Amino acid sequence: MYETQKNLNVSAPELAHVAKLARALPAMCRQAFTLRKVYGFSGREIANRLGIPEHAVEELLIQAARGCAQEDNPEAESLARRPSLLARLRSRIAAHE
Amino acid sequence: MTTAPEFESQAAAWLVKRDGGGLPDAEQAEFDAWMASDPRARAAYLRLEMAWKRADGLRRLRPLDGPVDEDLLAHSPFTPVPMDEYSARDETRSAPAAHATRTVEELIDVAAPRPRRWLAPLAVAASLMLVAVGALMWLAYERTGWHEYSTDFGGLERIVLDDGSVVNLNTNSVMRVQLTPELRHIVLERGEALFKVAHDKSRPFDVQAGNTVVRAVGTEFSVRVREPAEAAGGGKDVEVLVKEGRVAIDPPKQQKPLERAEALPASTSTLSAGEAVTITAKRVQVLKVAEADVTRKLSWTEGRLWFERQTLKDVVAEFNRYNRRQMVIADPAIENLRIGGGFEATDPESFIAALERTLGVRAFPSPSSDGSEADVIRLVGTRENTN
Repeated sequence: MYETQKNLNVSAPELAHVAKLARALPAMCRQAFTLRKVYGFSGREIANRLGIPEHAVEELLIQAARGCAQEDNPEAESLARRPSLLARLRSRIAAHE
Repeated sequence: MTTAPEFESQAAAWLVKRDGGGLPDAEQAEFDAWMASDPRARAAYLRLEMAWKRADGLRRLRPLDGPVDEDLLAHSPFTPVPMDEYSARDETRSAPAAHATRTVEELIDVAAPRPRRWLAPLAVAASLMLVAVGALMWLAYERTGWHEYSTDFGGLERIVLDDGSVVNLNTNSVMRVQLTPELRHIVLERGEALFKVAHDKSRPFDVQAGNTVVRAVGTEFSVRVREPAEAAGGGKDVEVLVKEGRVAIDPPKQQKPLERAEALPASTSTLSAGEAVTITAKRVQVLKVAEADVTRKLSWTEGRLWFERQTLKDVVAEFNRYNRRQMVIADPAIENLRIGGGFEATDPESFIAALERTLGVRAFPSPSSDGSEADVIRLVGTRENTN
């Protein structure tokens, strides 16, 4: 009960943040995520709609779940564009030198 | 050794698996064991779950009608969703409305939510976390421009919001409002309100009452939340009445799996002018309301209560919403006397005088049973109406 309340109370800025993270997802992944979160479709319904097997839908949603948990950090806007940890360390070291 | 990204991908896999429905016992045990295996596993899971639940708020972006658009989020996050249906034109009203009524009725007698299975220590950790999140959300809430409006017993406020929408807030009600360039978000915490929504296709007008969301663009409708004590089911029941135009209703998420891929989720439906819906924990019931009855049901906006052959029990309950001084029927024999006519909501004395005059009911002030300072008015029958 509490959770349902909480979800509906997501503030507009938080929602904008989630939508921004969703836009950074790869197309299929974003579509599966949209059908689940915006339209409330089941795994099977998403599979039918996108014409892919159900286990593939699961993979896409797993990817989406990780993408949506990114911190509010411009660097983390896109998983794909995010530089590797090593690259970031290098640039930080370079900045110090 | 398991690395952080590995924990994260395992956590994401469990999250999606659990999101798809309850796990079979064997998998549940496996999940519990995984959660217990390492604090980093738990942390990863809770972090992902919080974000995943937060994404449930995206339901607010769903268009009311029209085809499903899986690329909805590809555009700007809050680009206007297609809401042409909502221009409140008559020609768009009839056919989809008939369909909508049917789908709401199909929801009757849905199963109660299934209790969740957590390990006890995990529940403690999770609840501590929720407290922290709650505190943070409160801070966020303070900063994000919410305005609160409330009325006392017998109060009636007319509030003009910044977007031009007009809200009549009935007695003993609490409402919070947040207007952003993208959304108009109202939370009716308690009581009843009539919303006359200023037309703005690009900004949905969402009213949240209990766990139900009512969405409109330009229309007029009332929403009432019944407190658990008053409601039969134990949760907050919600009533919606549409005076003009159309609204979409999104009752609490049902546990029933959705079977129709092409349609909107079964939990969404639209209501047209002259329709009312009652949403309880057990059922969603749509009723047609005649125009005269709509006016009568909304007579509170003028400070008056109109009754038509309603039982004394219901009428007393209605008066008690508006007055601190409560009436109590102390005689079951008179509970079902039928009452008609119009009264001032905040003038129960005139109502009682009419009762005494026409139905032979007697009223006695007496101290309240719960010891509060306001006394109660006990209503009892006399021979002429009890025989």
